[in-house]
Amino acid sequence: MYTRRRFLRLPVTLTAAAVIGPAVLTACSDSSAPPSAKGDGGTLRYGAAVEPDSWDPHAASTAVTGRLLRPVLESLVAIAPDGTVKPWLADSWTVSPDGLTYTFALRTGVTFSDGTPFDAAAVKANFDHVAAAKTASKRAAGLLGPYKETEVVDPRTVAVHLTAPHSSFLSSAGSTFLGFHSPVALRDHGGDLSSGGAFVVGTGPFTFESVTPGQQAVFKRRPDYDWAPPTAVHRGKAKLESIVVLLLKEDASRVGALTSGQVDAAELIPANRLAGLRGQNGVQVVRKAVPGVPYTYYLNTARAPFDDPRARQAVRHAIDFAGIVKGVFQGEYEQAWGPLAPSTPGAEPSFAKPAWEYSKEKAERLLDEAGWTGRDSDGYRTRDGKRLTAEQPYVQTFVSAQNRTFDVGVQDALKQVGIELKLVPLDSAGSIGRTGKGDYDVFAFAWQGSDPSLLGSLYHSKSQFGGGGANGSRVKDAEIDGWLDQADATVDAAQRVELYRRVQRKIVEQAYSFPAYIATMDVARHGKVNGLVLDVDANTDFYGIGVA
Amino acid sequence: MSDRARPVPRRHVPPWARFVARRLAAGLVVVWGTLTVTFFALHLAPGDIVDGLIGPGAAATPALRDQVIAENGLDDPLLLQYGRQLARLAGGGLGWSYQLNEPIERLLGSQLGPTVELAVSALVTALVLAVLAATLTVGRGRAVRGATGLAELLMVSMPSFWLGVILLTVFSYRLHALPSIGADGPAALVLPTLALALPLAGVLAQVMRQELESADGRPFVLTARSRGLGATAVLLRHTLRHALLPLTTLAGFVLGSLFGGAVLVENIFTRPGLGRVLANAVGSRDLPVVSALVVVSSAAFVVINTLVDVLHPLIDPRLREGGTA
Repeated sequence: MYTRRRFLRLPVTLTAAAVIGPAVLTACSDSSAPPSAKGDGGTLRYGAAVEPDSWDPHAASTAVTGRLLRPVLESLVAIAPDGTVKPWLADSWTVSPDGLTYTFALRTGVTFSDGTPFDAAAVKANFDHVAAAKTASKRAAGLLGPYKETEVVDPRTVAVHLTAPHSSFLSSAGSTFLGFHSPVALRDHGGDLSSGGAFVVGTGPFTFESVTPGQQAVFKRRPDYDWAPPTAVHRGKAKLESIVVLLLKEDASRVGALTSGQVDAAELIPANRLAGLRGQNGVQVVRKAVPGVPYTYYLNTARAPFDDPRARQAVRHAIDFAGIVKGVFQGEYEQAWGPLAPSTPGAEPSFAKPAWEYSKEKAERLLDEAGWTGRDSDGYRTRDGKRLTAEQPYVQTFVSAQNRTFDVGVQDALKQVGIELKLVPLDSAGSIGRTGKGDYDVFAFAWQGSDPSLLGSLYHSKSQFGGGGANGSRVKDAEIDGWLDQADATVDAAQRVELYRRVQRKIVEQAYSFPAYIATMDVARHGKVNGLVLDVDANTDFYGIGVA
Repeated sequence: MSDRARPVPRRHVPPWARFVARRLAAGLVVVWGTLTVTFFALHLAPGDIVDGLIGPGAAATPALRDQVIAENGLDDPLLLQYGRQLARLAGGGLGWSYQLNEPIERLLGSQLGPTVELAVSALVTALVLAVLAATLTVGRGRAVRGATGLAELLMVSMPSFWLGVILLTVFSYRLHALPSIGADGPAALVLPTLALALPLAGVLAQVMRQELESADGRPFVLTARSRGLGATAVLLRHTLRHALLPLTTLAGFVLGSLFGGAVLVENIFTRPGLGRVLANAVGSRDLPVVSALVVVSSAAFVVINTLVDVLHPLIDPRLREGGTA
């Protein structure tokens, strides 16, 4: 699930997350409460930051696919801002006591835009499509989890059977990645879905008209739409007549298109452009905490030097994250202290505050204790004649200039206590190859997501790179594994959260990784755009937008 | 019947046809060579192709890897994969994009037009600018020539992407005069065309002025003058034609720089196009797409260079005589 293009932004895989990483900060600090949309009709020209690798969310790896198709493909359930699960295409549901079967009662009267009714068979066709080997799902299959089969109980009732409990399935069912294609489209154009455009047919308030790769995607309003979830800002058909999404991956193009009025709104505004944009006449910035994992440095605990907890803690003490964050992001982003950003449901509350101190003295003492007492001619520490050195691979095309600057700041801080950090630029395949083999000392990325089960992908011993996970620290901690397994199996929400909080405390205590900063999703808009709000994942919610 | 069976006498094949046939055969070798180099270069680069294809994905389980490998035959011996690639292209099929999971014909179909549009517009603009700059300044005083020479040098040394950013900042972001993005209509073509054409025009103008000047001292100019032709007439009817020759010879270079420049310029101006497709495909090691583009662009290269050589005799009568003799 890294985002392919901004993997961090790299490892941001998560898509836009890198920069967007996680974010906490306050929601909507620039614009006040979401205004209700006035005006009806009109076209919104929207500058998106990433081009999808596929327009089929069942196959795609890029988070932007889910973000841009949310107005087209809908889900069984909707996720409220507090993380609770609300009805959408399912009116209600029950979970079997063993956690293996989820039974959904489907809403009546919902149709796909090609006229096909939405029913239990449609749910089955879609989940089977996600799970099918031929789909080569890069993200959705992981959300579906240990899928066994979908049973059509009757046209309005569908039961999803799992082979093992998977407590995050319900919230995952609210993701666009598990959204529904028309079964007719799946049957007739299953091989064309990745191309997008008219091949993609859903139940949502917009239809997907066309796409020009590298340039734009066009969506049109569906006049008979009337099944918005309770989390939506209004009811009935969408306000906008159409949406033209311009795929502007260069930061400068996106910001320039906004300031020159060629787009009405643009997402993922880099922190260093925010101050300038706020000063412009009529431009406002909508910002929101992006839940998930902050930009985090993962130390490889499976080999020297970071198999020694003293070396890991020394690194943490040595870096003045607050100063670097302030300098690189011009005060727009905040320092992070916990494995999950505070806005993520299930985040450990104590990590909203400082969890360790910046102290070069402590760092030096810990390194001395760990035996790194010598110094070589370049001033780096040595032990038994070997230099204290660490390699951090990164993917050039996925890492933003600001994250590069950040990494260099960290490199400099470590040099001051005698640790050499080598930043190793690679292409995507080269980087994945090295991380898969565990051939690195440090790896950094952020990950957008609104469920604490993210921790399972990052810290479970079975979630190694190359094995379907992203355990950047190569942690093999029996206690953490146990808590994560219990959390996945339990149907008790409170117990689940408590288990995930325990995991977070242990990670910080052991310094397996350390978070650096929490970014925000910043969407800038012109004054004529109203009703622009960001949803639970900090993605633009197109349904309620109007253009006056 | 017997007529047909008899070998066609060589003299019945026009020399230009034989020339073109020979050139196209050599062209096939060029296409095959670039394709081969590209194939092995992508395979020899560090990292596994399948990693690039799947991308960094948490759902990239070993099962998915195995499946992508099996589906694309990535575990077959390299030579077999290479042979398969050649066979598919020889059969006229471009194949299927691993990364985007769609037919390459569809992918390129939507992107070829904008690139050709940009390349042709940049080429024409560069030629017009070069001819204007050279003819207006040739034979002028030191100051004029010094100034234009400096301006040309500046243009030549300015990378297209940098020029693009400057043009964008001034004409789009500041003055709001021209669009900065997309490929809708002539207005959207202006800035990317200039970004590509100006550096080229700088090179072409210098080559051309030199040719004009060297032609000026030649006997045929003297002859023309002695027939009473004015300076402008001599320029238009004689020396200009002379100076166009090296320009057409430069076509290969021009084409290469247009294609290379288009990769960056298309990205800066967010235009659809082959350059952008190529950059993405190389990044994700999408071999079928890269191969298809290599074939398309090297074929274009061969065709254009062949055309140039065919055109030479039309521009220069001396070559025409030599060719038919």
